[in-house]
Amino acid sequence: MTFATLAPVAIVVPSSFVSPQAPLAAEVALELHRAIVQNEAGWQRRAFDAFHGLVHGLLIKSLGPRAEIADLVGDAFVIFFTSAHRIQSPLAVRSYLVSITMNLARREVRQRKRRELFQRFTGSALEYEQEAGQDDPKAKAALIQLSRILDELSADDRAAFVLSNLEGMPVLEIAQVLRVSESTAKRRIRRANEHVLKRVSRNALLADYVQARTERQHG
Amino acid sequence: MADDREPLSERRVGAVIRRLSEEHAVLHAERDAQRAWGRVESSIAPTELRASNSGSGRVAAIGLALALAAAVLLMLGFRADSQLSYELRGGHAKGGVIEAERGEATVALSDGSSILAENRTKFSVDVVGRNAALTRLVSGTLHVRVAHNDDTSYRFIAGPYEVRVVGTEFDLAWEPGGSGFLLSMTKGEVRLVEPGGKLRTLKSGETLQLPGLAQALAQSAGQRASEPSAQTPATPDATEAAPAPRAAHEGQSPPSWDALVAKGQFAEVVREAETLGIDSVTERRGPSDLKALGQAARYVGKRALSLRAFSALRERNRGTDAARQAAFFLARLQEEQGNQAEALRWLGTYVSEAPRGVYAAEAYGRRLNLTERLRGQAAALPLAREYLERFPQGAYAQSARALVEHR
Repeated sequence: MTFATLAPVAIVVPSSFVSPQAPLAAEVALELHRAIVQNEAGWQRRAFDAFHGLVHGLLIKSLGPRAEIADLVGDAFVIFFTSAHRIQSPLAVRSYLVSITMNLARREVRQRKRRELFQRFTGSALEYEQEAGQDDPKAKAALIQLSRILDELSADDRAAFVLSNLEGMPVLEIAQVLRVSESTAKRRIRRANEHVLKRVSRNALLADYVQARTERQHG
Repeated sequence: MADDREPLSERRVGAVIRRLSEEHAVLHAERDAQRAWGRVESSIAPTELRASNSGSGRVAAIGLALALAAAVLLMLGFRADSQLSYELRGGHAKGGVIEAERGEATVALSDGSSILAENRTKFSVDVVGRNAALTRLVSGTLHVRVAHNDDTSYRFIAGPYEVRVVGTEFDLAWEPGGSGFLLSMTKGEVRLVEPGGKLRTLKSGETLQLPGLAQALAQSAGQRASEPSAQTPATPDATEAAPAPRAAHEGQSPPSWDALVAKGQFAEVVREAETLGIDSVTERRGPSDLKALGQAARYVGKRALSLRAFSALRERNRGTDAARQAAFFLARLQEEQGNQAEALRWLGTYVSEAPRGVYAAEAYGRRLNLTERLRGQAAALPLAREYLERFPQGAYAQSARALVEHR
């Protein structure tokens, strides 16, 4: 009797998702996927170079300017490297990495919330290592304050907010990445939007900064 | 806040967070990339990162990686246990094709479905989803029982015909050059898609016989050329005009080879080409199919088939982008087979035909390396200068620069 497991596991991610910010040409994606499937020498470094910007950016948007971002980026790639050969479609390479990254981000948010709860009970202070960022102190302050507002969201709502408003991903694809129904994704986006908007509106300095910044951008 | 301003919106807040995050990311990208890669290197064995193409070390490393991946994926919420698997009893599988040689063979699937193949039947089974599988009947007879689940989707391809199932029991026979297609329903209901995209529904107790490969394709071509009302011979009571909206959706032609390659279903493309006959495919199929077949065959390691497809693509579509790109792939294939001189010749063809093509940077770089290897540094020097001029930041710039500076 022969036992066979059918084909590689079909990784369920939206194969149609191609970011408008960093599109990978189909041919390039195909070549990278081929290198992964055939375990060509150095495919990991090629994938890292191609996608570091994506993963790094997603984690900063999801978690704020934290010092541990680089380690999380590394973790995302370690997970990707150990499972990428299971990706069946060249077009799914990118979206699979997005899924891994967002799962990591959500896990990190949950862990932080647990740690915060623990710290609150024990009465000890809790301060994450915020990274120095922009030279512009207003921008630095705004990013930290906005990140704190996002910290108030649940891990799931935050992921939905990031994918919707910061990555411009359509609802259907958000639902696929987060593995929830479309209506659940919509509900999370709406809830997160309401919360963020309310909190920013109540902070006059921050609201002013957002207004000024978006007016500057739009002309 | 001033009242005359446009009100805050989540779009504006999102835009600012995005902008600030991106500015922050740019400032730290290089340092974070080094640190992240360091973490990767400390987590994965260097041998695995370098990757090798054979050997037991690789098998062990992959095994370890798979175990780690499984653990990590479970931790992150991927449900690896939800995948379909099967046991094959009584037949043997070779190159993805199952053959019942001495008596019957049975494929018992983990969702409770089963496929019993009669003696001398050839077929393949591929998983395409959690409760979804694609079976290709090359020739012979299958007795099929599909267990129904909410997301069940089993497809059976027999030559140009496709049977779609959500839960049922039936017999399916296919002899491409002989008696043709026979579908006999025991229980439930299936949908049949014919070569021209026509949809039929078959219910319990019904039987449908359709012609073999050549006749079916001829009829399909005839239907397309004349009008949609032409009938394929069939048992009358098995024929049903499907409701228009549903038929429009379900009666779509099978996905193109291009689409299958994009989804990573390389083996499926190769099998379909083999079922239809490689000679016929290379003589008749259009450039996109030939390119897809060439890529699919290369992926699954069938280099001879890949060479045939790309050669046919070039010969039959001279002057097109597809033919020019085929030269690059022919070069890659020759290089993979160790025919460096032939690879170099094809790279020369590609760069002369498409100096600004999609693969130009890679082709110029590989041509430089191969020339240095085969003809020496003096011959490679002008190519190195040309490369640096065109691609100063390219992947081969370092070796090109070394060559130029060495002189």
